[in-house]
Amino acid sequence: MKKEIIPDEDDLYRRIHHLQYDRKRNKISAAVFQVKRNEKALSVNWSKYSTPEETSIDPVHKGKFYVGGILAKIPRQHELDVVHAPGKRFKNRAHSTIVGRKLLEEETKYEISTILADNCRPIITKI
Amino acid sequence: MNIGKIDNFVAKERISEQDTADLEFLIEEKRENVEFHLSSVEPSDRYYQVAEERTDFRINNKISIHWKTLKFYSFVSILKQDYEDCLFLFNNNILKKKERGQLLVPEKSNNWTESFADIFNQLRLVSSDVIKRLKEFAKLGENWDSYGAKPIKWSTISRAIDFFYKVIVLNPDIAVPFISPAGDGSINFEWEVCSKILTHKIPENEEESFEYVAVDKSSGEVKRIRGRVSTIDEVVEKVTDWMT
Repeated sequence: MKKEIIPDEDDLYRRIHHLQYDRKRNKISAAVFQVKRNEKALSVNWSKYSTPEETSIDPVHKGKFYVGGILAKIPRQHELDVVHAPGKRFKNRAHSTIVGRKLLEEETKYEISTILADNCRPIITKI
Repeated sequence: MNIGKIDNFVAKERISEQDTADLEFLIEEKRENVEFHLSSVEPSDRYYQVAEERTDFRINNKISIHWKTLKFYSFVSILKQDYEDCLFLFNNNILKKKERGQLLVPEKSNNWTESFADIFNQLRLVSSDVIKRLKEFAKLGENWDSYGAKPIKWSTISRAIDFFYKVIVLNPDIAVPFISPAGDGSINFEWEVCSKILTHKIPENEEESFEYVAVDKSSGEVKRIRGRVSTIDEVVEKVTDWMT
């Protein structure tokens, strides 16, 4: 599948476990954007090829999740890249990644997770 | 020698003859002419190894000692001046001061059951929802977030509960935090009051330091301060300073 440039104003969708959503404050936890030890990037779905409803379904176990949306320009404003990376395994044309040094370095990664979470809009908050 | 078992901090009754004899022997070695109450934790269950911990909270002139199992929380509150007279029973028959295990409280601290009731009721009200939520994290299996998340270990939950108690004992009126699990096995806390937010995590690895991000929006612009502290008590201090 051909890789494309993702416009700044397009949305990136990410699945959110219900325990990571604060219904009282309508806010998403920074935990959603914390990379794991063996991770190099955060997976998201590009809105050009996916909807929040499609994103909400886990491609492996088909479980349903909440979904948040963040504009592609937000990670870019914080020295991160947003890259279209269509997935071969699940033939997911929307698959994209947020990558960059700040996401991985010990000094910056926790702060970055709070910035991304602050700018992430809850879209699906019911299953 | 009068040794009574205080079960759930209400009833005072004698423990078995053999236990009494063992305790009397141990106590006599340590102290003469001092009478003790025995405060007991719940009998062991399969979670006991994780849960067998003690935390001391110091409030004014009292010390509240907290044991937990994952089903039950127990507190004993004694006067600071009597604390040094307390003996702790550990691993059947080895007495060590200020260790995990059972506590022998000098009988002269005879007003501690009332203090316990106050503290327990206060903490129970504030914390029941938070504790219930934290325990839910233990049910999360592999890949619970669909992006390869690790399960949350009991030991991390236990440390989060300890941390939370320390904060609310010092700040009973503090806003309830939003607590969430993270894919790396850590637990995130977000404390928000007016336009100030403090986010930090309890990492899975006990050796790891504690990261935090403090956000202040009170001036109209967003000011972020990030930092790292090495002990859980410093996190408690950070939350107390920032949110109160």
